[in-house]
Amino acid sequence: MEERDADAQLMLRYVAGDARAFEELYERNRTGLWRFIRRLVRDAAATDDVFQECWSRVIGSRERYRPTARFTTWLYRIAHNCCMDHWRKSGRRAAHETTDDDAIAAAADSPASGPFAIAVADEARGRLTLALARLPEDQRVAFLLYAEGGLSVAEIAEQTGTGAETAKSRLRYAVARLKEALGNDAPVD
Amino acid sequence: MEPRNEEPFDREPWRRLLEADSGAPTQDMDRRILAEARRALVPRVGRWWLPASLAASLLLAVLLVQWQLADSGAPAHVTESDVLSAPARIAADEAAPAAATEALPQRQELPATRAADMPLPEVAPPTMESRRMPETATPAAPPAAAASLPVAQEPAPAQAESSAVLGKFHALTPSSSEPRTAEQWYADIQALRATGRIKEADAELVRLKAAYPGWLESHQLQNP
Repeated sequence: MEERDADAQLMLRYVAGDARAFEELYERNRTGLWRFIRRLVRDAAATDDVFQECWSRVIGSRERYRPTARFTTWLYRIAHNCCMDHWRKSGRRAAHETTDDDAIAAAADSPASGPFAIAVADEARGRLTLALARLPEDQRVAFLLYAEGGLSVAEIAEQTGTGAETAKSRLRYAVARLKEALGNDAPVD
Repeated sequence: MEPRNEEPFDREPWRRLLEADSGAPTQDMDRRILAEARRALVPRVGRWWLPASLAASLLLAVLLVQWQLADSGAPAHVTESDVLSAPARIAADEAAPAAATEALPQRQELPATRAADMPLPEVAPPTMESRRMPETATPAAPPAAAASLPVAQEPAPAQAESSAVLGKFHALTPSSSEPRTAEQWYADIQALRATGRIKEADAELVRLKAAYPGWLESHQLQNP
Protein backbone atom coordinates (compact mmCIF):
# COMPACT_ATOMS: atom_id res chain seq x y z
CA MET A 1 0.00 0.00 0.00
CA GLU A 2 2.90 2.29 0.79
CA GLU A 3 4.33 1.69 -2.67
CA ARG A 4 1.05 2.67 -4.27
CA ASP A 5 0.94 5.79 -2.19
CA ALA A 6 4.47 6.46 -3.30
CA ASP A 7 3.28 6.22 -6.90
CA ALA A 8 0.55 8.75 -6.20
CA GLN A 9 3.03 11.08 -4.54
CA LEU A 10 5.33 10.81 -7.50
CA MET A 11 2.48 11.59 -9.84
CA LEU A 12 1.54 14.64 -7.78
CA ARG A 13 5.12 15.81 -7.86
CA TYR A 14 5.14 15.42 -11.61
CA VAL A 15 1.92 17.38 -11.89
CA ALA A 16 3.64 20.11 -9.87
CA GLY A 17 6.44 20.22 -12.45
CA ASP A 18 8.99 17.69 -11.24
CA ALA A 19 10.19 15.78 -14.29
CA ARG A 20 12.41 13.54 -12.19
CA ALA A 21 9.37 12.31 -10.31
CA PHE A 22 7.88 11.10 -13.56
CA GLU A 23 11.08 9.27 -14.42
CA GLU A 24 10.89 7.43 -11.13
CA LEU A 25 7.20 6.73 -11.54
CA TYR A 26 7.78 5.41 -15.02
CA GLU A 27 10.61 3.19 -13.88
CA ARG A 28 8.45 1.66 -11.17
CA ASN A 29 5.60 0.80 -13.52
CA ARG A 30 7.04 0.38 -16.98
CA THR A 31 7.64 -3.37 -17.05
CA GLY A 32 4.40 -4.35 -15.32
CA LEU A 33 2.34 -2.16 -17.57
CA TRP A 34 4.13 -3.31 -20.68
CA ARG A 35 3.57 -6.99 -19.78
CA PHE A 36 -0.07 -6.26 -19.02
CA ILE A 37 -0.59 -4.67 -22.42
CA ARG A 38 1.33 -7.35 -24.24
CA ARG A 39 -0.78 -10.09 -22.65
CA LEU A 40 -3.93 -8.29 -23.65
CA VAL A 41 -2.95 -7.14 -27.11
CA ARG A 42 -0.71 -10.12 -27.95
CA ASP A 43 1.07 -8.33 -30.74
CA ALA A 44 4.57 -6.94 -30.36
CA ALA A 45 4.18 -3.87 -32.60
CA ALA A 46 0.73 -3.09 -31.26
CA THR A 47 2.02 -3.48 -27.70
CA ASP A 48 4.52 -0.69 -28.25
CA ASP A 49 1.88 1.57 -29.77
CA VAL A 50 -0.62 0.96 -27.00
CA PHE A 51 2.04 1.29 -24.34
CA GLN A 52 3.13 4.67 -25.66
CA GLU A 53 -0.44 5.81 -26.08
CA CYS A 54 -1.15 4.83 -22.50
CA TRP A 55 1.67 6.94 -21.10
CA SER A 56 0.73 9.79 -23.41
CA ARG A 57 -2.72 9.77 -21.86
CA VAL A 58 -1.21 9.71 -18.38
CA ILE A 59 0.89 12.73 -19.28
CA GLY A 60 -1.95 14.51 -21.03
CA SER A 61 -4.45 13.99 -18.24
CA ARG A 62 -2.07 14.73 -15.39
CA GLU A 63 -3.93 17.91 -14.48
CA ARG A 64 -7.06 15.86 -13.85
CA TYR A 65 -5.33 13.31 -11.70
CA ARG A 66 -6.69 13.10 -8.17
CA PRO A 67 -5.20 10.62 -5.68
CA THR A 68 -8.59 9.33 -4.65
CA ALA A 69 -7.65 5.84 -5.83
CA ARG A 70 -4.35 4.04 -6.12
CA PHE A 71 -2.21 5.26 -8.93
CA THR A 72 -1.89 1.80 -10.43
CA THR A 73 -5.67 1.48 -10.52
CA TRP A 74 -5.84 4.68 -12.54
CA LEU A 75 -2.91 3.61 -14.71
CA TYR A 76 -4.26 0.16 -15.56
CA ARG A 77 -7.69 1.55 -16.28
CA ILE A 78 -6.12 3.85 -18.81
CA ALA A 79 -4.16 0.93 -20.21
CA HIS A 80 -7.27 -1.19 -20.56
CA ASN A 81 -9.06 1.66 -22.32
CA CYS A 82 -6.14 1.98 -24.70
CA CYS A 83 -6.32 -1.73 -25.44
CA MET A 84 -10.04 -1.51 -26.18
CA ASP A 85 -9.42 1.47 -28.46
CA HIS A 86 -6.78 -0.55 -30.24
CA TRP A 87 -9.20 -3.41 -30.74
CA ARG A 88 -11.80 -1.06 -32.12
CA LYS A 89 -9.35 0.58 -34.50
CA SER A 90 -7.93 -2.70 -35.70
CA GLY A 91 -11.41 -4.03 -36.39
CA ARG A 92 -10.89 -6.97 -34.17
CA ARG A 93 -13.86 -8.91 -32.99
CA ALA A 94 -15.28 -8.08 -29.63
CA ALA A 95 -13.51 -9.58 -26.68
CA HIS A 96 -16.26 -12.04 -25.80
CA GLU A 97 -16.13 -13.44 -29.34
CA THR A 98 -12.48 -14.41 -29.10
CA THR A 99 -12.06 -18.16 -29.19
CA ASP A 100 -9.43 -20.24 -27.54
CA ASP A 101 -7.98 -21.05 -30.91
CA ASP A 102 -7.43 -17.34 -31.57
CA ALA A 103 -5.73 -16.92 -28.25
CA ILE A 104 -3.50 -19.91 -28.77
CA ALA A 105 -2.53 -18.79 -32.24
CA ALA A 106 -1.74 -15.33 -30.94
CA ALA A 107 0.25 -16.75 -28.06
CA ALA A 108 2.28 -18.80 -30.50
CA ASP A 109 3.22 -15.57 -32.28
CA SER A 110 4.53 -14.06 -29.09
CA PRO A 111 8.34 -14.28 -28.92
CA ALA A 112 8.22 -15.22 -25.28
CA SER A 113 5.74 -18.03 -25.83
CA GLY A 114 7.01 -19.67 -28.96
CA PRO A 115 7.85 -23.36 -28.87
CA PHE A 116 11.57 -22.77 -28.57
CA ALA A 117 11.16 -20.10 -25.92
CA ILE A 118 8.91 -22.29 -23.91
CA ALA A 119 11.35 -25.15 -24.12
CA VAL A 120 14.32 -23.22 -22.88
CA ALA A 121 12.64 -20.83 -20.51
CA ASP A 122 11.16 -21.55 -17.19
CA GLU A 123 8.54 -24.18 -17.71
CA ALA A 124 6.03 -22.76 -15.30
CA ARG A 125 6.37 -19.31 -16.81
CA GLY A 126 5.90 -20.69 -20.29
CA ARG A 127 2.88 -22.65 -19.26
CA LEU A 128 1.42 -19.60 -17.57
CA THR A 129 1.88 -17.57 -20.73
CA LEU A 130 0.23 -20.23 -22.79
CA ALA A 131 -2.54 -20.71 -20.27
CA LEU A 132 -3.20 -16.99 -20.22
CA ALA A 133 -3.39 -16.96 -24.00
CA ARG A 134 -5.93 -19.74 -23.86
CA LEU A 135 -8.18 -17.88 -21.46
CA PRO A 136 -11.26 -16.20 -22.90
CA GLU A 137 -10.69 -12.51 -23.34
CA ASP A 138 -13.00 -11.29 -20.60
CA GLN A 139 -11.46 -13.72 -18.09
CA ARG A 140 -7.96 -12.74 -19.12
CA VAL A 141 -8.78 -9.05 -18.77
CA ALA A 142 -10.30 -9.58 -15.37
CA PHE A 143 -7.40 -11.72 -14.18
CA LEU A 144 -4.70 -9.30 -15.42
CA LEU A 145 -6.49 -6.26 -14.01
CA TYR A 146 -6.72 -8.06 -10.71
CA ALA A 147 -3.30 -9.66 -10.46
CA GLU A 148 -1.10 -7.27 -12.39
CA GLY A 149 -3.04 -4.01 -12.09
CA GLY A 150 -4.13 -4.44 -8.51
CA LEU A 151 -7.73 -3.47 -9.16
CA SER A 152 -10.43 -4.66 -6.79
CA VAL A 153 -13.39 -6.73 -7.92
CA ALA A 154 -15.60 -3.66 -7.81
CA GLU A 155 -13.13 -1.67 -9.86
CA ILE A 156 -12.86 -4.47 -12.41
CA ALA A 157 -16.63 -4.61 -12.64
CA GLU A 158 -16.80 -0.86 -13.19
CA GLN A 159 -13.99 -0.89 -15.71
CA THR A 160 -15.37 -3.77 -17.75
CA GLY A 161 -18.96 -2.60 -17.51
CA THR A 162 -20.26 -5.59 -15.65
CA GLY A 163 -21.55 -6.38 -12.20
CA ALA A 164 -19.33 -7.27 -9.28
CA GLU A 165 -20.57 -10.87 -9.24
CA THR A 166 -19.79 -11.30 -12.92
CA ALA A 167 -16.33 -9.93 -12.40
CA LYS A 168 -15.76 -12.19 -9.45
CA SER A 169 -17.03 -15.18 -11.42
CA ARG A 170 -14.66 -14.42 -14.29
CA LEU A 171 -11.78 -14.24 -11.88
CA ARG A 172 -12.64 -17.58 -10.33
CA TYR A 173 -12.94 -19.26 -13.72
CA ALA A 174 -9.65 -17.76 -14.84
CA VAL A 175 -7.77 -18.88 -11.76
CA ALA A 176 -9.25 -22.35 -12.04
CA ARG A 177 -8.06 -22.69 -15.63
CA LEU A 178 -4.62 -21.35 -14.84
CA LYS A 179 -4.22 -23.71 -11.91
CA GLU A 180 -5.24 -26.55 -14.12
CA ALA A 181 -2.67 -25.56 -16.71
CA LEU A 182 0.14 -24.99 -14.22
CA GLY A 183 -0.49 -28.06 -12.14
CA ASN A 184 1.90 -28.23 -9.24
CA ASP A 185 3.52 -24.92 -10.26
CA ALA A 186 0.33 -23.03 -9.57
CA PRO A 187 0.39 -20.67 -6.54
CA VAL A 188 -1.31 -22.03 -3.48
CA ASP A 189 -4.01 -19.83 -1.93
CA MET B 1 -0.47 -8.16 1.59
CA GLU B 2 -3.57 -9.74 3.04
CA PRO B 3 -6.35 -10.51 0.61
CA ARG B 4 -9.32 -8.27 0.99
CA ASN B 5 -12.60 -9.68 2.14
CA GLU B 6 -14.12 -9.31 -1.28
CA GLU B 7 -11.12 -10.75 -3.08
CA PRO B 8 -11.67 -14.24 -4.44
CA PHE B 9 -7.99 -15.20 -4.06
CA ASP B 10 -4.63 -13.82 -3.03
CA ARG B 11 -3.19 -11.89 -5.96
CA GLU B 12 0.41 -11.61 -4.76
CA PRO B 13 1.57 -15.14 -5.71
CA TRP B 14 0.08 -14.64 -9.14
CA ARG B 15 1.69 -11.23 -9.43
CA ARG B 16 5.11 -12.70 -8.66
CA LEU B 17 4.54 -15.39 -11.23
CA LEU B 18 3.55 -12.82 -13.81
CA GLU B 19 6.55 -10.64 -12.98
CA ALA B 20 8.86 -13.56 -13.60
CA ASP B 21 8.03 -13.33 -17.25
CA SER B 22 10.67 -11.41 -19.11
CA GLY B 23 9.77 -8.57 -21.35
CA ALA B 24 10.01 -4.82 -21.14
CA PRO B 25 9.70 -1.79 -23.35
CA THR B 26 12.73 -0.89 -25.40
CA GLN B 27 15.10 1.86 -24.37
CA ASP B 28 14.01 3.86 -27.38
CA MET B 29 10.45 3.64 -26.13
CA ASP B 30 11.59 4.78 -22.69
CA ARG B 31 13.37 7.79 -24.15
CA ARG B 32 10.36 8.80 -26.21
CA ILE B 33 7.98 8.65 -23.28
CA LEU B 34 10.30 10.45 -20.89
CA ALA B 35 10.94 13.14 -23.49
CA GLU B 36 7.21 13.58 -23.96
CA ALA B 37 6.78 13.90 -20.21
CA ARG B 38 9.46 16.59 -20.05
CA ARG B 39 8.01 18.45 -23.01
CA ALA B 40 4.61 18.49 -21.36
CA LEU B 41 6.03 20.43 -18.43
CA VAL B 42 7.33 23.23 -20.63
CA PRO B 43 4.77 26.05 -20.78
CA ARG B 44 3.14 26.11 -24.16
CA VAL B 45 4.02 29.24 -26.06
CA GLY B 46 1.00 28.92 -28.29
CA ARG B 47 -1.39 29.54 -25.42
CA TRP B 48 -0.57 33.25 -25.28
CA TRP B 49 1.43 33.74 -28.45
CA LEU B 50 -1.46 33.50 -30.88
CA PRO B 51 -3.87 35.96 -29.22
CA ALA B 52 -1.01 38.32 -28.41
CA SER B 53 0.19 38.40 -32.00
CA LEU B 54 -3.35 38.91 -33.26
CA ALA B 55 -3.85 41.82 -30.88
CA ALA B 56 -0.55 43.37 -31.92
CA SER B 57 -1.41 43.04 -35.61
CA LEU B 58 -4.82 44.61 -35.07
CA LEU B 59 -3.33 47.50 -33.11
CA LEU B 60 -0.74 48.10 -35.82
CA ALA B 61 -3.41 48.10 -38.51
CA VAL B 62 -5.54 50.62 -36.60
CA LEU B 63 -2.55 52.88 -36.03
CA LEU B 64 -1.62 52.76 -39.70
CA VAL B 65 -5.14 53.67 -40.77
CA GLN B 66 -5.27 56.55 -38.31
CA TRP B 67 -1.92 57.80 -39.49
CA GLN B 68 -3.01 57.67 -43.12
CA LEU B 69 -6.22 59.54 -42.36
CA ALA B 70 -4.37 62.21 -40.38
CA ASP B 71 -1.92 62.76 -43.22
CA SER B 72 -4.53 62.81 -45.95
CA GLY B 73 -4.78 66.68 -45.76
CA ALA B 74 -1.07 67.25 -46.30
CA PRO B 75 0.73 66.12 -49.43
CA ALA B 76 2.15 62.73 -48.76
CA HIS B 77 4.70 63.10 -51.54
CA VAL B 78 6.83 65.74 -53.27
CA THR B 79 4.85 67.65 -55.85
CA GLU B 80 6.05 69.00 -59.16
CA SER B 81 5.95 72.58 -57.95
CA ASP B 82 8.17 71.67 -55.00
CA VAL B 83 10.73 70.30 -57.40
CA LEU B 84 10.49 73.26 -59.76
CA SER B 85 10.81 75.89 -57.04
CA ALA B 86 13.77 74.19 -55.40
CA PRO B 87 16.44 75.76 -57.69
CA ALA B 88 15.02 79.23 -57.14
CA ARG B 89 15.14 78.76 -53.39
CA ILE B 90 18.68 77.46 -53.59
CA ALA B 91 19.73 80.46 -55.70
CA ALA B 92 18.15 82.86 -53.25
CA ASP B 93 19.81 81.15 -50.33
CA GLU B 94 23.19 81.36 -52.05
CA ALA B 95 22.75 85.00 -53.03
CA ALA B 96 21.54 86.13 -49.63
CA PRO B 97 24.83 85.90 -47.69
CA ALA B 98 26.82 87.66 -50.43
CA ALA B 99 24.31 90.42 -50.77
CA ALA B 100 24.12 90.80 -47.03
CA THR B 101 27.86 91.30 -46.94
CA GLU B 102 27.61 94.00 -49.56
CA ALA B 103 24.75 95.71 -47.88
CA LEU B 104 26.32 95.65 -44.44
CA PRO B 105 28.18 98.99 -44.67
CA GLN B 106 25.13 100.76 -46.05
CA ARG B 107 22.95 99.37 -43.34
CA GLN B 108 25.40 100.57 -40.74
CA GLU B 109 25.10 104.05 -42.16
CA LEU B 110 21.38 104.03 -41.78
CA PRO B 111 19.71 104.49 -38.44
CA ALA B 112 18.17 101.35 -37.13
CA THR B 113 14.69 102.73 -37.25
CA ARG B 114 15.11 103.75 -40.85
CA ALA B 115 16.15 100.33 -42.02
CA ALA B 116 12.56 99.29 -42.18
CA ASP B 117 11.90 102.05 -44.64
CA MET B 118 14.18 100.47 -47.17
CA PRO B 119 12.44 99.31 -50.28
CA LEU B 120 11.05 95.80 -50.27
CA PRO B 121 13.23 93.18 -51.85
CA GLU B 122 13.53 93.67 -55.50
CA VAL B 123 13.88 89.97 -56.06
CA ALA B 124 10.79 89.03 -57.89
CA PRO B 125 9.06 85.84 -56.84
CA PRO B 126 10.21 83.13 -59.17
CA THR B 127 7.98 82.85 -62.16
CA MET B 128 7.49 79.63 -64.00
CA GLU B 129 10.19 80.62 -66.46
CA SER B 130 12.70 81.54 -63.83
CA ARG B 131 11.88 78.36 -61.96
CA ARG B 132 12.59 76.26 -64.98
CA MET B 133 15.73 78.16 -66.02
CA PRO B 134 17.21 79.75 -62.94
CA GLU B 135 20.64 79.95 -64.55
CA THR B 136 19.21 82.30 -67.21
CA ALA B 137 17.81 84.94 -64.91
CA THR B 138 16.88 88.18 -66.65
CA PRO B 139 19.57 90.84 -66.61
CA ALA B 140 16.97 93.39 -65.55
CA ALA B 141 17.07 91.86 -62.10
CA PRO B 142 20.10 93.52 -60.51
CA PRO B 143 22.37 91.18 -58.53
CA ALA B 144 22.48 93.61 -55.66
CA ALA B 145 18.75 93.61 -55.41
CA ALA B 146 18.98 90.58 -53.17
CA ALA B 147 20.87 92.69 -50.69
CA SER B 148 17.65 94.14 -49.43
CA LEU B 149 16.34 90.70 -48.53
CA PRO B 150 17.65 90.55 -44.98
CA VAL B 151 16.72 94.17 -44.39
CA ALA B 152 13.18 93.65 -45.49
CA GLN B 153 12.85 90.58 -43.28
CA GLU B 154 13.70 92.53 -40.16
CA PRO B 155 10.73 93.62 -38.08
CA ALA B 156 9.79 97.21 -38.91
CA PRO B 157 8.99 99.74 -36.16
CA ALA B 158 5.52 101.13 -36.31
CA GLN B 159 5.94 104.65 -37.57
CA ALA B 160 3.01 106.27 -39.27
CA GLU B 161 5.09 108.59 -41.41
CA SER B 162 7.43 105.91 -42.63
CA SER B 163 4.55 103.58 -43.37
CA ALA B 164 2.82 106.23 -45.40
CA VAL B 165 5.95 107.00 -47.37
CA LEU B 166 6.62 103.33 -47.83
CA GLY B 167 3.12 102.79 -49.06
CA LYS B 168 3.50 105.60 -51.50
CA PHE B 169 6.86 104.33 -52.59
CA HIS B 170 5.42 100.88 -53.13
CA ALA B 171 2.67 102.37 -55.18
CA LEU B 172 5.33 103.87 -57.37
CA THR B 173 7.15 100.59 -57.85
CA PRO B 174 6.05 98.32 -60.59
CA SER B 175 4.38 95.03 -60.00
CA SER B 176 6.55 92.84 -57.88
CA SER B 177 6.18 90.07 -60.35
CA GLU B 178 8.22 92.01 -62.91
CA PRO B 179 11.84 93.09 -62.51
CA ARG B 180 12.33 96.80 -62.04
CA THR B 181 14.02 98.56 -64.87
CA ALA B 182 16.64 101.28 -64.45
CA GLU B 183 14.10 103.92 -65.44
CA GLN B 184 11.61 102.73 -62.85
CA TRP B 185 14.33 102.52 -60.22
CA TYR B 186 15.45 106.04 -60.99
CA ALA B 187 11.87 107.25 -60.80
CA ASP B 188 11.55 105.68 -57.35
CA ILE B 189 14.74 107.45 -56.28
CA GLN B 190 13.34 110.70 -57.46
CA ALA B 191 10.18 110.03 -55.51
CA LEU B 192 12.25 109.41 -52.37
CA ARG B 193 14.12 112.58 -52.95
CA ALA B 194 10.87 114.47 -53.43
CA THR B 195 9.66 113.31 -50.02
CA GLY B 196 12.85 114.55 -48.41
CA ARG B 197 14.48 111.18 -47.84
CA ILE B 198 17.69 112.32 -49.36
CA LYS B 199 20.02 109.81 -47.75
CA GLU B 200 17.91 106.89 -48.78
CA ALA B 201 17.67 108.32 -52.28
CA ASP B 202 21.44 108.65 -52.40
CA ALA B 203 21.90 105.08 -51.21
CA GLU B 204 19.49 103.82 -53.81
CA LEU B 205 21.31 105.86 -56.42
CA VAL B 206 24.58 104.17 -55.49
CA ARG B 207 22.91 100.81 -55.92
CA LEU B 208 21.44 101.84 -59.22
CA LYS B 209 24.86 102.84 -60.46
CA ALA B 210 26.28 99.54 -59.36
CA ALA B 211 23.49 97.58 -60.96
CA TYR B 212 23.40 99.53 -64.20
CA PRO B 213 26.88 100.94 -64.77
CA GLY B 214 26.85 103.87 -67.19
CA TRP B 215 23.09 104.07 -67.37
CA LEU B 216 22.82 107.13 -65.16
CA GLU B 217 25.37 109.10 -67.18
CA SER B 218 23.68 108.31 -70.46
CA HIS B 219 20.31 109.12 -68.92
CA GLN B 220 21.57 112.51 -67.68
CA LEU B 221 23.04 113.21 -71.07
CA GLN B 222 19.74 112.46 -72.71
CA ASN B 223 17.77 114.37 -70.05
CA PRO B 224 19.95 117.26 -68.96
